[in-house]
Amino acid sequence: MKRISAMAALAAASVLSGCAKPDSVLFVTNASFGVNVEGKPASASVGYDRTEGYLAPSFPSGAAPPVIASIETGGGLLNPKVRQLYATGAAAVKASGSHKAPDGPTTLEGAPAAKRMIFFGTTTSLGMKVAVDASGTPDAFTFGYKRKEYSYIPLTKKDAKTETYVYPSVLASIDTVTLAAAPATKGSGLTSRQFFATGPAAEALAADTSAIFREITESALSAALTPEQKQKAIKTATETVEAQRNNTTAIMNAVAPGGALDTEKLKALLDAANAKGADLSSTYAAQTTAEGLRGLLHEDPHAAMLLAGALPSSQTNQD
Amino acid sequence: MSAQVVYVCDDPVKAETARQVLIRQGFPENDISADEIDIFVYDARSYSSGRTDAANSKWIVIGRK
Repeated sequence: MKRISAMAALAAASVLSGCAKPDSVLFVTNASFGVNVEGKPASASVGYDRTEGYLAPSFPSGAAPPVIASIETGGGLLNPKVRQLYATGAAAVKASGSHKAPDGPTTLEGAPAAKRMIFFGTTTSLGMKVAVDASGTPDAFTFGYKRKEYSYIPLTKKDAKTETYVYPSVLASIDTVTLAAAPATKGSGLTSRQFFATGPAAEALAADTSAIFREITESALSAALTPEQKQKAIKTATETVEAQRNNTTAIMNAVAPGGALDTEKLKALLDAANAKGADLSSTYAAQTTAEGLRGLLHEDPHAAMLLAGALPSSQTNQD
Repeated sequence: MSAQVVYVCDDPVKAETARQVLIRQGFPENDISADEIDIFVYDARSYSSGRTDAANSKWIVIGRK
């Protein structure tokens, strides 16, 4: 109910903003997080509800007053942990981790544009339930997720002559991980990480957030592998890169003796490779410099292998 | 971003191999993505249909630098 009330207040404020003086920033967050663990029958449920809302004036420069909010929950079902951040102005930019964050107040140049308010909000509802049987093995698992993100951001005209507009930055992100490991509910829980930021804080956080999602991708890939499979992948990669280096050296010695690319020799080598079914891209034939060819081979181990395979055997092992 | 290398891999082991190859080639680890995909959408400027089923359920590993 609190979530609905908060969003209703924001919506009302948004409507009223048309007649209000736009010299203030409204920034609200509302979060609830609950855990319920029962012994008989053995079950555990987690509920998470969060609202974030922001209503602020836009500026002629396209700037938006910076705010940042984040909430991070983790831990097991019996010892949940919550870490929350809420900051505005220069503190918001500093909290985003920006190296260029100003020490003083964040300047917003120009008069706030009357009747041109920015509205940005998110609502998130998450629920998870795990039931376990007598042996401790989860026999029922339910996960629900509901999320809304919305923004109303007037474009700011930067240059009247060239019709150049600025679209102010906002950023909202949520990252959830559910854990449901047997036995019992010891390893079970819900981990979530949520960000909400505007203006320079959003821009600074955007780079970090992309890194976070890259980490997730990597961990998802690693989670799909056994330690032996990962070791095998690393060993194969090491061998591939070593072979690529040797192949590239042999090819460059053959077509660029002395450091300058001999395009006739390159063409002859490409013809020989394609005659063996290589079907190499015309990009290789278009190369006119040794550096350009080396760059292509550096990024394409397969092409390096095919070209090296077309070299006369006397040239394949030269350094 | 001056270079982008894309590997289409049959399984996660090969995807990890591709990721390691890119790391050893100097691609920043944080700028390498590896995703298992349902339908692979090609660059529509390079391929007439812009879409193929040939790569369904494969892993796409992309290095950027």
